[in-house]
Amino acid sequence: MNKKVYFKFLVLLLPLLLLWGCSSGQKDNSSTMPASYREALQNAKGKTVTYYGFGGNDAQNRWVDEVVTPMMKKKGITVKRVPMDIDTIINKLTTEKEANKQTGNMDVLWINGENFYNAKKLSLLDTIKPSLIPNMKYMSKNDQDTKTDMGTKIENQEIPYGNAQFVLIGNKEMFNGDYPTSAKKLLAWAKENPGKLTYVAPPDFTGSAFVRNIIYETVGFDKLDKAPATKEGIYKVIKPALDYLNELKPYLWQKGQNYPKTTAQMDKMFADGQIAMDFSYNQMYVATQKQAGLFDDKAETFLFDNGMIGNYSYLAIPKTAPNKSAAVVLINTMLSPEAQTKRLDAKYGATVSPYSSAKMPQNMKQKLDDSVETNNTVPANELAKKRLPEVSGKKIPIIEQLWKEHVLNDK
Amino acid sequence: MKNLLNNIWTFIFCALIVIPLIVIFLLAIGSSWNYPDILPQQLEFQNLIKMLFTNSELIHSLTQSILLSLGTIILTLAIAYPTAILLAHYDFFGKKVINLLVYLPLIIPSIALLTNLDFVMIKFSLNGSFVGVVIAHTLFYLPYAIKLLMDNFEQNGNAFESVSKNLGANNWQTFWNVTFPMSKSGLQGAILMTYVVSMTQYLATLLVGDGKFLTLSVRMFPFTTAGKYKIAAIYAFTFLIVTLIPLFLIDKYIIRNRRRG
Repeated sequence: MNKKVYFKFLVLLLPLLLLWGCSSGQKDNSSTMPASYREALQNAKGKTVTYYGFGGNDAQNRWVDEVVTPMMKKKGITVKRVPMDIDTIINKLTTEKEANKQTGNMDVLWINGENFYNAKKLSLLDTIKPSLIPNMKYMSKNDQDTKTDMGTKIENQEIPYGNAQFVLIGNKEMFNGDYPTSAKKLLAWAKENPGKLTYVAPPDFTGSAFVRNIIYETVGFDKLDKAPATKEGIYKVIKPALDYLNELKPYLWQKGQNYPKTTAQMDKMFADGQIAMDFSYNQMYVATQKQAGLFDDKAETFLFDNGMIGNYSYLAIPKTAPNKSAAVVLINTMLSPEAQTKRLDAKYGATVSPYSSAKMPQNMKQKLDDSVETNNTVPANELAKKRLPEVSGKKIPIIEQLWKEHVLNDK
Repeated sequence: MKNLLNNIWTFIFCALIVIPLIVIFLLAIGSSWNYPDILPQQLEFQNLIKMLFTNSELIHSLTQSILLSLGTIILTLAIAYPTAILLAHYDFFGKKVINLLVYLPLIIPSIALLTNLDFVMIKFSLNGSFVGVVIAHTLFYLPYAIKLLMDNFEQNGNAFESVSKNLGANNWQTFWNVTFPMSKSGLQGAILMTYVVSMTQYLATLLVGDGKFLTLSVRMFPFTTAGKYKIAAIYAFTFLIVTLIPLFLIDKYIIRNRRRG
């Protein structure tokens, strides 16, 4: 009898043993921020660094796997790329903080905008001194996007990673090479050619950017920037833009009763010649689409004269990163001229570097200018000249809601 | 007349199931599929074959998916089997409440459940571990497994066990020679259900697994949300194959068994 009780007790203990085996704690100096880049390199040797970011962009994934990972390997560091959307990442980091966990799993995050605002508010991110990232010398402290991220002060909590700017793409034949370079011209063209324009319905990221760009055209950035982040406040300011979109509506594809749901759908309609204009939040989009065989030489990039919205994406290191030295090395490697120049290839998604256009190395500039010739993109300095900042991340969902109420549901 | 109507219904149901499958297959192999063509203009199998056989990510994810579902099946059955026997054959105080509580993991919104589960896992340092992910998965499949096994036990009744014990068999002998063989079809159902749902589980693997377990569905999901349907379709296709083959095998096995019995 005694034996039986003893046995039962052991069986009950078994799961606890399992638990104990899993929580082997290990501590070394790699989970603290290094003092210098050289120290980071030394500490990081032989370590594995994890990169958490959106995994649905296969070109970006390829860039990390084929360009960044081998470069890191040479420094003795293994990179592990984890496809996780930023909402889940923030969710996880918040839970970790609530559970008072000191060391997590994520070393480097791909982040921007509203998610950065949330992460900063909850103080989830560690401070990265600019001196730790030598390749920041290619960026300018005076560029708007190195100071604020959609209205949130950066204060060294994230490092610029990529440069995105909203561009319009026109069908050369349908526009006869004469592109509508303002909202006014666009409306006039639509009235002459009904059914040939449309835009992706917000809250799609790109469609939402288009609506904001129209707001900039009709009322200007400053007014929207100063408007209080309430529904009434914004409605009062953007009313002219909503009126504009309603005036445009009957001349849209299917008389504005339907909107494409995804950019992929809109790209397809553009490629098939159903609509004359497409747009993208990537300056080099035409190049990537041509590479993929979807667009042909008819597709040309153009801008509104008053400017187009642009923003940066960023890299950040969470406070709970297990390997901060390796994280610093990964960020610096991703920002190196070698990696950033390769990143301009269409097969890697043709992402423009966050370098200041004045400090850009010659071969990178050359590559951008070549693309103007071959892919009908817009040169870097012109993009920089016609660049408008993003509004605060808090206002974006409000604008999307107002669009839905006053444009989509307005019969 | 009734026969014809039945045939039409069967046809509609088949179409509802088969057409989406065909679309997935065409998405995976078709190229230049543009409006207004109903079918893709070119078919290329290289892409699919290349992805299936040379993509190390795919093979790696597949192993992870299968290992996780095997672990989950073992843990699910270990909990569900005794619970089902208890609920089917014994009367006790609070049975009705427990009967309802079994469904709780399916009733609570999974994101709320998982965020808190993640919290607990972090407290126990189980997050990112194989055991942790298996536990999270198990939570979601217990309702299915318990229900399937319970129905089976209720159908069989426990008269056979009484007979066996009456004839002098001890508890172990009764279990191995009577209860267990008789519950086979319920077990098979529970295993299949757990396997299929475990293969498709996305959020639990990602959240509790800390992104360390890159299963097929974890890799597939971002592509579908980004509108990269071709890549997603290739993953979906692989997914279908690895889910259907065991299903087919077990199903065949059951049918053969039944004919013999």
